[in-house]
Amino acid sequence: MALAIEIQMPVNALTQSQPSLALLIERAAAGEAAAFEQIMIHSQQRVMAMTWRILGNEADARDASQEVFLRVYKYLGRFKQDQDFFAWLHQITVNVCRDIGRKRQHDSGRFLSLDVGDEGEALAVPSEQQDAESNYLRTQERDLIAKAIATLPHKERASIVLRDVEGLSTEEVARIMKSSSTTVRSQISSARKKIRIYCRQYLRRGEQAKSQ
Amino acid sequence: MNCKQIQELLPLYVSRDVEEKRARLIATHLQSCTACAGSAAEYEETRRLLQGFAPPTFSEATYDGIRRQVWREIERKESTAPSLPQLAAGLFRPRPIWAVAMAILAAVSLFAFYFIANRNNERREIAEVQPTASPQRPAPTASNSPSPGLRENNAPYKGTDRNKGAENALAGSSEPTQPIQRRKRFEKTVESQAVAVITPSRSVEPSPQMSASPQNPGSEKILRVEMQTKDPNIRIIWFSPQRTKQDSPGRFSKGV
Repeated sequence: MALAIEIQMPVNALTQSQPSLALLIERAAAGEAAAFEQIMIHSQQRVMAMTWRILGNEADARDASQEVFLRVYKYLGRFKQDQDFFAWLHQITVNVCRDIGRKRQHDSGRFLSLDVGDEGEALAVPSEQQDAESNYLRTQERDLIAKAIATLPHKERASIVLRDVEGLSTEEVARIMKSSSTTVRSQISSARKKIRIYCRQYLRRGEQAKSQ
Repeated sequence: MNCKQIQELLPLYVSRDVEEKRARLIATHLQSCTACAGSAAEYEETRRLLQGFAPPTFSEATYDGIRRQVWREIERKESTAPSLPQLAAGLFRPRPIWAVAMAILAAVSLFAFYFIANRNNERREIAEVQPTASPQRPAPTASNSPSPGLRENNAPYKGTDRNKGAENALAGSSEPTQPIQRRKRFEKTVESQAVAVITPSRSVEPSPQMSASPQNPGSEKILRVEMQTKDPNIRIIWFSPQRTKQDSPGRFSKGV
């Protein structure tokens, strides 16, 4: 539930607290540890959620979140007060996820590993109880999307997560990705097509499994 | 717009990422085309799934662990980061291999300097001497003191005898001391710098141009010495008339 709120009210809620955040950033940049701790507490859920969405598993998301905060600490002195802190944070997060994704790909030959269950598990017969079924369906959907996103190249993955999951505008995504709006639109269009095809194939196979 | 064009635009249409005019055209098309409308519904569903793509709930312990790890990492980096005095000490600590390298470099530089300076000196000497070998200079009178090194017969010179003979021939001339010294230096230069090739001294029959004086036709023999310098364009030819009764100035010319 808390995560649903996190998705629904990401930017606006935090921009309302900009004055206090700006003060925290200023103090943290001056070397105050307590202020930086507050910044971490303030943004940890957002960072962890985004890294998990891009990388697809908790272990990598944890590593990526640590690295994001380390980079924030290192480069906080360069942050300008007129900048949007969360756009800056997103930018760091996307870069860290790209680096970790490359490293994982290099280490294991796979782009990433997923915590979600395998296909057989995902297509298992749901429970008859209503709540359990609803939970199960939600989990199924999440696993399906996680797997679909995992098939995308990094740029498409980051663009679709920022645009559709984080709810940013195309222009904001372009700024974070240091790219043009046209390129981002193209990436988003391509990502949606691939996800749609993946979901369709997945669901078709599920129907075939049910009928057998 | 046809279905293919509509299908291309549908992924962006569902998030209102197309122009207003195109969006109206697509909406009109979707009302009449069930296939495209089905695709649009699938894209809508995909987008809905993406918007609801929430990560699992992470415990507070997970976040605490992340923060602790961040602080640990910051402390580790700050403790291992070298301070300015440490950096300076690292830069200026004695390195024996650098000392050896510097010594070798100095030795090579000295040798190169000596070699270049020596070459320049030799060049300067040649520049000084060359005018003395020009045909305009007064011809040496070698006949006053017959040179022991020069042979009148056809016997070839060999080895150092050849150079010695030439040197003796020049040294034996009756010129003042300074030109002799200069010529000696020239000899030395020719020897070291220009590979002097002295053709065997021989007696030649007088040619019409350099024939003996009409007073004593046939009474003189002409000694000819040729020296090829390193420069292929410069050959030094020295003629020494040998008279039995009276001396006559020799002819000295430089063939180019």
